[in-house]
Amino acid sequence: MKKLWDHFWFQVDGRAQVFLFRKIFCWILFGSYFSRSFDLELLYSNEGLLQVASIPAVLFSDYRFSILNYLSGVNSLWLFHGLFLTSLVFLAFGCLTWFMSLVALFCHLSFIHRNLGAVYGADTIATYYLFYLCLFEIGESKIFKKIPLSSAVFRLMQIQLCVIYAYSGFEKLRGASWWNGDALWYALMNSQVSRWNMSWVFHDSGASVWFSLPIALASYGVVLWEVYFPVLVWSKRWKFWILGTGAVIHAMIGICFRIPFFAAVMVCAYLLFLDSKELKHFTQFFKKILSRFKLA
Amino acid sequence: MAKKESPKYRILKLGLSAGILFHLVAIAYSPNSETELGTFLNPLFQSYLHFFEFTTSWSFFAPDPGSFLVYFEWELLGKQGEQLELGQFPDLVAESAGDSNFLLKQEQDMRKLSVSRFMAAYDARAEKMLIPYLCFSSSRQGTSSFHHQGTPSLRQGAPLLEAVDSVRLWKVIELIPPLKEIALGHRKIEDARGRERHWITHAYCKDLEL
Repeated sequence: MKKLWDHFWFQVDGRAQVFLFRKIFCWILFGSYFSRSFDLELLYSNEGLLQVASIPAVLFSDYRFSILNYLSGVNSLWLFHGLFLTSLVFLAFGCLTWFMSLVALFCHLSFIHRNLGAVYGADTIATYYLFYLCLFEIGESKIFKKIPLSSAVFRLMQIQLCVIYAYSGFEKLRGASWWNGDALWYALMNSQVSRWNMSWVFHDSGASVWFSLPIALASYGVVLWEVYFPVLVWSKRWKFWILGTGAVIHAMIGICFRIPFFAAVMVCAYLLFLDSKELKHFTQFFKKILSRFKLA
Repeated sequence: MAKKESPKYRILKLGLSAGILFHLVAIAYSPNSETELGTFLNPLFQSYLHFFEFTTSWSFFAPDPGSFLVYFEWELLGKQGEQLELGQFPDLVAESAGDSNFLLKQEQDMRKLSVSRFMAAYDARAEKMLIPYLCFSSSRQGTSSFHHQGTPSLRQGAPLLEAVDSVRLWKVIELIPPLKEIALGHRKIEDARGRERHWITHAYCKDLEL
């Protein structure tokens, strides 16, 4: 048992995976948080939707620290936002990584604790993975190099993705619309979430009948895939099927709903499940595509 | 032959294993912490979970994606009770017009939608967040007019709105018809959605502590 534990947690080299993940993940976060610039004062300033004085009244604020509760001026807010974006760029380029990962985590937590209402899926995933990146970079630093911290963190990063899908799948099993097979109908018809107005597709009852079956099958498929992801992703035989299906599902989510950055963050975490050889193939394939479009 | 580990290394690994176990238990139980198990574990883990915000339930589009749309309608009233402006938050359709496919705009919309869902969970939240914002941005920002049917921009308040005396607030829920009813021809997609307007409050700006 001790041997198994040691082998699983302390003897894996996930550096290549984590370095590539860090690069892509930080650029995705940069895009996502750059978009926040347009609503920065609305979401986080004292003249916006949540005044500092109101925070205890709207949520349980014990242990939730944000430096933005003390730096309430608009200029300091913009400076802090700039610092956060800069730290993500440094991390993406692999410069001063352990220090910048600490800065990025500190800034990120400060923003989400300043207004927890403005947080959605991509932010919550970013919280966990910035935390792991921070520990990983510390583990890679000279002082801690002798402890197998980075190996353990790599495993935690993999397990985290399994926890996300397991809970997401089990939660769906509690929902009547996922059992009825019309969950995707409600998601697509919700104009607040859906990227396009899909009502023309279902204009007459004939078309609705025709689309009922694909919608039901897709709804069941999503639940099955999420529930089985945490188990099958560890199997060599099933790994590519489960990751490939996930990439397709998230691509569809990114196209059909207003959450392209969320979809990108989730798929980016799949890199953590590729071994060194597969990772090499992936980067070669990616470079080929980029060169075809003359981007690299 | 495997290299023998030093006692110091073994102690460090033991400490690391304890840390891994602590974190694993935390991330595994926290999404389901409103349970008997949670009541037992919360005192031990709460500070850790809240400090790093490991409190999410991972319920993406779950247990149901939501068979309704939710938003807030507000009305700004003058000193004589006259209506100065009507609006809604978030006004995603109007704000997205023309550039709804633009990546960054979608991300912006999603955050506003998250705020509106956060407020919709409790009326008191909406009152605490939206009323000061509507009063505050109207009384302190004074450069141009509010968008009709939109979010008052921080940079585009209105001199007119210095006259705002009070705000009325409603939560609006629009129900999406079930697919089965459309498929069976009982309803048509273009039929008006079921719309419920819930009264939240009528608050006076002068009563707020800004």
